[in-house]
Parts: sequence; structure tokens; C-alpha cells
Amino acid sequence: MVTSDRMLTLMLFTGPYGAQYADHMCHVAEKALEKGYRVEIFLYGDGVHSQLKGQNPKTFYNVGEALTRLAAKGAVIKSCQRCSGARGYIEGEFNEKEGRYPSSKSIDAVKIYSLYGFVDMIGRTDRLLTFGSA
Amino acid sequence: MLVMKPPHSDEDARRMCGLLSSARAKGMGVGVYLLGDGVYCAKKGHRGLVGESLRSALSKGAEINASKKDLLSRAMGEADVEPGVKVLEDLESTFVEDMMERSERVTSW
Repeated sequence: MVTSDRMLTLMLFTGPYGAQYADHMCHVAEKALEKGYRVEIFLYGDGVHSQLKGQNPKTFYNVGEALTRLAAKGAVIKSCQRCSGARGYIEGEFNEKEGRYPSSKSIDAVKIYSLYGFVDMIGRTDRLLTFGSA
Repeated sequence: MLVMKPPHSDEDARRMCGLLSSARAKGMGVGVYLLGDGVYCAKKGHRGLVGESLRSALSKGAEINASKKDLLSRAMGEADVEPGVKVLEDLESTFVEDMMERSERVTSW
């Protein structure tokens, strides 16, 4: 539960399972939420593959499930519209009511959004951390 | 500084060490948190810039922390890291508190 007015923003540049950056980001986000901080996450570049529905890594940490848990605990998670479009996730125009681009391939926890969503996060946040190489 | 890369895969660990030395030379307090493959930076006996920089920083009282679970998953323990490196059971928890409450700046590598 969010109890602090302090906010942490996490930006993920790399996809899951090729390296541990997505795992590390989720673990840091989980600890921050446990401590009551507001957490917002932006997926960028290959980081948008973390939103893929139906991930089944068997023995590895499941990043899709982790993002769903984080959202349920209050994390705001957005992914870059241009990065998502380039990788085949977007299936229509921006839905004003839902505040996201439509995608049947993405988990509900993640909203595909304009890069301006990240600009807004930077404007609000107290700390910004990046995971993986740009 | 959160470090998730090993010492010799690219230039990042070297850059981190340069920043660490410069910041400490200017009198700034710096905490280093080694997570994932970053724990290899703490391995005892590294030659080259990264090992020398970390040993030098430790000898001058720098705070360098390594994740116990990430050391164990790479077949290392407390005996395998440079003396002075603090091995933490829950590095992420300590890192988040330090980052949000005790630091003015944070960076990741």
C-alpha cells in the first residue's frame, strides 16, 4: 500500500530472460512498494517485451506475472507506444476512455502510452533508475 | 550507485569506479550496491582498474555492498569477496531505503 508521497520511477530498456535487468527492476519495485513509496515503471525499447501476455519461462522468474503483481499493489506501469508499435503490440488507435493503445498481446497491468507519459513521470518523481542499456 | 554488470563485459564498471573515485575525492559520500552479475566486481583479487579502485575505495572507508543471494547463485560466499565488502541478505531493501531517504542522487550501471 502506498503510504509515502515520495515516488520512484524505473525505466526498463531490455527484454526479459536474455539478462536479469527486468528481474532486478521488479525486485526493486516490490521493495519500494512494500516500504510505501509510489512506484511508476516505463518500458522502453526491447523492455516492452516484458508486457507480453502468456509468458511461460518455466524455471526463470516470470516477469509478466511480476508486473501484474506490482500493478495490483499500486504500481503504475506504462510502455512506449512507438516501441510497442514497432514490435507488433498495437492493434488500433489510442483509447481515450481506457487511457491506452489497444493490444490483445499485452497484459492488462501495462498501458501502452505515448513517450510523453515518461516525461510526466520524470516531472513527478523523486528518484529515477534505469535498468539495461539504451 | 546500483551496479548490475560484471567488471570486464564493457566499460560500465570502469566508469562506475571513475565516478566513485571522483565523488569521494570531492568529499561526497557514495554507496555502491552490487546486484546480479554486479557481484563479480567484489570478487577477491581482481587485477586491473576495477579491482584496484574498489580496494582503494574500501581502504578509505567506502561503503560497498553485495547481494548475498546473487553471490550464492554464482557459487560465491563472503570468503570470496574483498575484505570490507558488506554482504547483505536483502540488498534491494537496503538499497531502496538508502536511495529514497539518505541519498541526493542515484545512478545505475
